[in-house]
Amino acid sequence: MDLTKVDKILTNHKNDKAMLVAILQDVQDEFRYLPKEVLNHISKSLNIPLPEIYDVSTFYKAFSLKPRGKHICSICMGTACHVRGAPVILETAKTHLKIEPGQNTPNMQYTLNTVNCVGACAVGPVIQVDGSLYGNLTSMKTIQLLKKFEKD
Amino acid sequence: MYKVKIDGIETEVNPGTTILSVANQEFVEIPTLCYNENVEPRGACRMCTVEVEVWGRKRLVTACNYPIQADIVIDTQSERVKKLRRLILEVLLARTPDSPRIKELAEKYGVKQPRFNLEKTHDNCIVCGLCVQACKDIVGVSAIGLSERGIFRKPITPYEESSHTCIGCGSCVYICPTDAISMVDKDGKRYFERWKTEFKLVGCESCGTHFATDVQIEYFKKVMGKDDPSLHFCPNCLVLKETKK
Repeated sequence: MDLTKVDKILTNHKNDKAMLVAILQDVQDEFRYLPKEVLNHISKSLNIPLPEIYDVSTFYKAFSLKPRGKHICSICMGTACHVRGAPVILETAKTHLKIEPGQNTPNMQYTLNTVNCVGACAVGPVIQVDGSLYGNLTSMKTIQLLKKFEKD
Repeated sequence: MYKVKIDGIETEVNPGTTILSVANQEFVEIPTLCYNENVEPRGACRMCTVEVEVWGRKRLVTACNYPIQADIVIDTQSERVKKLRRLILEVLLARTPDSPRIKELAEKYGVKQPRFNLEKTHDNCIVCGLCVQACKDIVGVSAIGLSERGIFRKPITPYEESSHTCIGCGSCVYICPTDAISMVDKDGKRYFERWKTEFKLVGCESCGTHFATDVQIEYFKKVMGKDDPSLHFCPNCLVLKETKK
């Protein structure tokens, strides 16, 4: 584990305790999740007890303590998307990637998630991949979309 | 000084006094769970909710952490308070149906069967966070913390693993309002099931009774900055020694 990267993030935030959430966000951008050693390191460097950091990291759904794939694929299961066929999209993604929501593909390319609403109900059913939205989906379009990200 | 009228009793208090301390002073009973005079009140359990009237407006506030900043009329027995108190107890009883303390309070305030049906957790924790605060503010080690959110929120050690910072003092066990943390002293060892942490117990040099964990003694030495004789004997033997002198 490369802790010098973490030290750089900490210096960017002036080793400020109040910036904990921002620091964790940067760490997650770097490692794609929050590794245990890094949390221990932050605890020692900023003099924040580990339980407090653990509290913050488990409180926000945006943080993950488990390794995640290169691309985060969140399928919207909100009411609007649901009636427009989100369950079918989810089934398609599950069979295509051969994983359940919350899991990673074995090659760590994808992490599949379900979310409750991404606020793009007008173009439902919607999938969010790495922050970008893809709307008006069908099973075919879903598979094409997932294939697109499989290469890089 | 502000004029306070609590359940009809009139008195005067200094600015910043909490409603709960006025109530205690005037012998007015307000039920509490997460309140402990040794830590900063946080109003986590909501049990001490009372109705206040300030500047002609009535509202419900938690008595433990409401500082009096104006003339105030407090009602601890109004219909609104009673109704809310019952609701809070109903929620707590649904969550911890086995806790003797919650059962006792529920019976006292007339709550029988909660309307809410929760999966039985076999856990008496009401997630007030008092243990976490005691560990941080009284003991000063911060070995435990709350984790997750919503219905999954619970006090744990990081990663639910045996703690490296816990000193095994048992403050969390004593302070817990619902006895949700178990501490078992057996065969010279102390085990905390909730924290998944085990300690070696140290015996009193005079009578041999186990009275503290080895880590706890080391921690006290560090805090005191010296090896004090009081760290070698159990409280009973210490008192005996004092009286012999």
